[in-house]
Amino acid sequence: MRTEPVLIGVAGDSGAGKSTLIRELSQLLGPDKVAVIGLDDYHSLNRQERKAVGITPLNPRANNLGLFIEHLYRLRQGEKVLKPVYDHDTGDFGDPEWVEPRPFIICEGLHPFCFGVLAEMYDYRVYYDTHPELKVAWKVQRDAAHRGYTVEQVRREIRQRQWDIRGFVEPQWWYADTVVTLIPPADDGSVIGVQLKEPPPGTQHSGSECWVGAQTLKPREAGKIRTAREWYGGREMWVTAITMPLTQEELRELGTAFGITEAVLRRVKGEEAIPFQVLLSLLAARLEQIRKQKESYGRERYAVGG
Amino acid sequence: MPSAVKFPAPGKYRELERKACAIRQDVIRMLAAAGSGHPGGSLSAVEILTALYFHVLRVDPRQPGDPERDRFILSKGHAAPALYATLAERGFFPLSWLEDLRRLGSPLQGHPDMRKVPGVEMSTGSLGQGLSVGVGMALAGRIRESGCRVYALLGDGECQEGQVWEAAMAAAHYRLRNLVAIVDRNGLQIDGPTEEVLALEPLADKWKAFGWSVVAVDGHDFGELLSAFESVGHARRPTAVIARTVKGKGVSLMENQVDWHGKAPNREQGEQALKELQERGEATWR
Amino acid sequence: MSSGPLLATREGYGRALVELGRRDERVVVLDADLSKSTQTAGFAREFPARFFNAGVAEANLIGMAAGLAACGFVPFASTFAIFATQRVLNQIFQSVAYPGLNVKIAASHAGITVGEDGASHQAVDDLALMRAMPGMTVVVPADACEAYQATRAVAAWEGPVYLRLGRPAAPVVTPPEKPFTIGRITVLREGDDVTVCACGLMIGVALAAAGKLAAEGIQAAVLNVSTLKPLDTETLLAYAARSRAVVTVEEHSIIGGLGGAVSEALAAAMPVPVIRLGIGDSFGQSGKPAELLAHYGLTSQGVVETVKEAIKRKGKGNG
Repeated sequence: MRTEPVLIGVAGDSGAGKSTLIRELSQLLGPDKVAVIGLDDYHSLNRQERKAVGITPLNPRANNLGLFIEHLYRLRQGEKVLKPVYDHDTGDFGDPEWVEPRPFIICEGLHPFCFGVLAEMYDYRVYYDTHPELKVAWKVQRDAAHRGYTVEQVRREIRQRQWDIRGFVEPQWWYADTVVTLIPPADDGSVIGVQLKEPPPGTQHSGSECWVGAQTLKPREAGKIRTAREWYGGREMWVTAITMPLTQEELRELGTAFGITEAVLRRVKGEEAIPFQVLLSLLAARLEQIRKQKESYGRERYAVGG
Repeated sequence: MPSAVKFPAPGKYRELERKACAIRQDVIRMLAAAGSGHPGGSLSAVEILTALYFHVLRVDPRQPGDPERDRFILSKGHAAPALYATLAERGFFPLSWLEDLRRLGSPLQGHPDMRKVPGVEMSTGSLGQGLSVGVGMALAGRIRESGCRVYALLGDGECQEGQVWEAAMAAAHYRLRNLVAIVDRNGLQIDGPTEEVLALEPLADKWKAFGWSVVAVDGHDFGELLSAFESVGHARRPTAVIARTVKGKGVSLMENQVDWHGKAPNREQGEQALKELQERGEATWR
Repeated sequence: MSSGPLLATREGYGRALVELGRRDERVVVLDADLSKSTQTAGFAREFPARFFNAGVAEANLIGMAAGLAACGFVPFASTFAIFATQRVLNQIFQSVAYPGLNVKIAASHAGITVGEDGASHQAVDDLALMRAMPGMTVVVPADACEAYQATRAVAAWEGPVYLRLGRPAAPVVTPPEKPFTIGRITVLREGDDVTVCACGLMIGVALAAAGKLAAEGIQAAVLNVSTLKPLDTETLLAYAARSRAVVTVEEHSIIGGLGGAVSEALAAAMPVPVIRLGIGDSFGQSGKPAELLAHYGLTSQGVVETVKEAIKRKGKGNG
């Protein structure tokens, strides 16, 4: 029996750096093993129609999530699907394209798991929550350069999206297995830091035993790795912040706590791993573990819940 | 197909329920230590406050001044013990402050003082004014194009104050969809049941007539409360959540009793209440 | 005695608001359905997104202003003085003064010069009420120019302020460019025989009276007490010490307003005869503004007579 693909959901606002994360993650997992689906392709209305109705793409109503669920369902059964295509440059739809089920299927966008039913279909859910300062900086870079906006206009645009983000995108926190936030570099470092928030096992919605999580790290306030407990989105989460590059030694220690295998660790080259690389190896390791479990138990469906 | 739908995990709101129980115990302890205060209306509001501060509100105890934060106004200021307990549990100030409720020089005054307590957004006590302030804050959020939301908790007796309806009119006029009023509908006030003193019903109809979206929920059920708060995201007008509650909820001696509006438990009663809360709590989570 | 245009203090206020609106995006204005009268309409026209009409709902007006202030805005809330104080006293206390929020209550149509509308619209105790409110700053500009400058000073001031404005057009005595300092008495005229303290509309009356007195050989100092709270006791005591007789004149009850403030300060530090001219413990009534002022003795002749009485009392008893 063929092994089911590992379905991964990555939710977050656009311009947050999701594509970069996913591109790098695909590299680590093996590009031929990964299929990426952008949820923007499932817009139900093109730009003109949205303007006429008066809603933004942030509203689930502007997205054909029903079709998306159907496609996920089929991909999980091992069927290839003919996915719609949305062109950001024209604001209209192009010709549909085929997506084949591969060992890892990453679905990224604004609403990958905005409903419980939808959330249940994934094996792993990441909520990507950028620090507002970084978001402004990147968006300014992107939009100011390409579309000729000023910084103030960009800030204004970000502010105006907030109501819809709050109402339609952020509630996905509740379903996330991990909330990833990139934090701006501290004064002493030049590296963008990474913060991971995870619900402790037993309280996680997915209740999987395949990772241990940050609670085995000794709580610490200072240094390269900081851990704390925080209420976030209705749950008390373990928060791990990595603000500076880690040596191989430190990476191994972190790895043990999070369940990273040696194999993936070895792929991280160089003397030091910057926080972003650490994040990538953590995610890649978990996804590989999930894959292994699917293969070894040969279950038709990786039951989520526990 | 696996039979049991395991997602979400059973006891979805177990953590919130646990918090609510802890907050109730804090309230009883505080009032017994202070020797005065308002248990009835504090206990009826616990789930509402827990749902807000531990799930809904975008607030950070480490940044109480963040301009983009959500605002919560305890318009029924006499439920201060419940607010204080919730804020302390959420990390706005140390739990040890709670033992000094109502003492001379304590930051925890009989009714909330925004200058003395981190996390308190407005000083209240004289009823009927919190929603107006909420309207002002919601307007401020609108001018700034902020995504922040403003929540005001009112007592049901408080809805007898005319100013509440002035604010309701203004909120609808200005289409403040970022404003939420929660009415702690425990059915009792000082001189007796609300319907005997000055009838409020049909209360939902009144809010609707003033142009608000109305949702009626069981004020002690986290599922219902959170669903109501979730609906705000789709709102096109201000939302009134009418939460049916039990005054004095959690302490059988006090439940639904008019007398326990403004009388603090003595030491014996306090201990009895704590014992009851602890036992009830454990039974729920087993 | 002064020539030039007649302008109401509320007009100076209205113009200042527009200026402020242009310079400071934190300034917002609220009204209770009286913006044409209070002159907030100018701001409303130019900045509609920052103007909020509470309608005929003054309690909510105060609450909304408080909410805006709590979020970092500088709200000016306007309505008639009687509705801005008496009617919403508890709201001012609970939502503004007690939490110390930066709300500016700019109340127009204060005093009896409201005229024909009668007692129900004439605030004769607003200064007393606002003075007794802890943390409240009370400002009474004398004319349109001072009102313009005072509004700007009030916007820059941290904390709750009550700004008292009037309905009628009045002569301008203040130089237009002179900045307003909250908490400072302005000496308009020197004189050693008596000190006349006045505020608001009564400044013109006091100056006219001083002119008449000078013709009779009595030198009266005229003090513009434009801030009632905090009171500039230093200046007051200095002049009281010199003249040893004080007369206060205000378009307000003799209980608790300017007369009250001056009496309190002098009784504590320098007891000298103080005679308060104002509305004596009674309500207002309908009538033409000038008629009403005459009826309550708030004329330059009234001041002249009161001054002579005060001088008679000098040297008798303490002082």
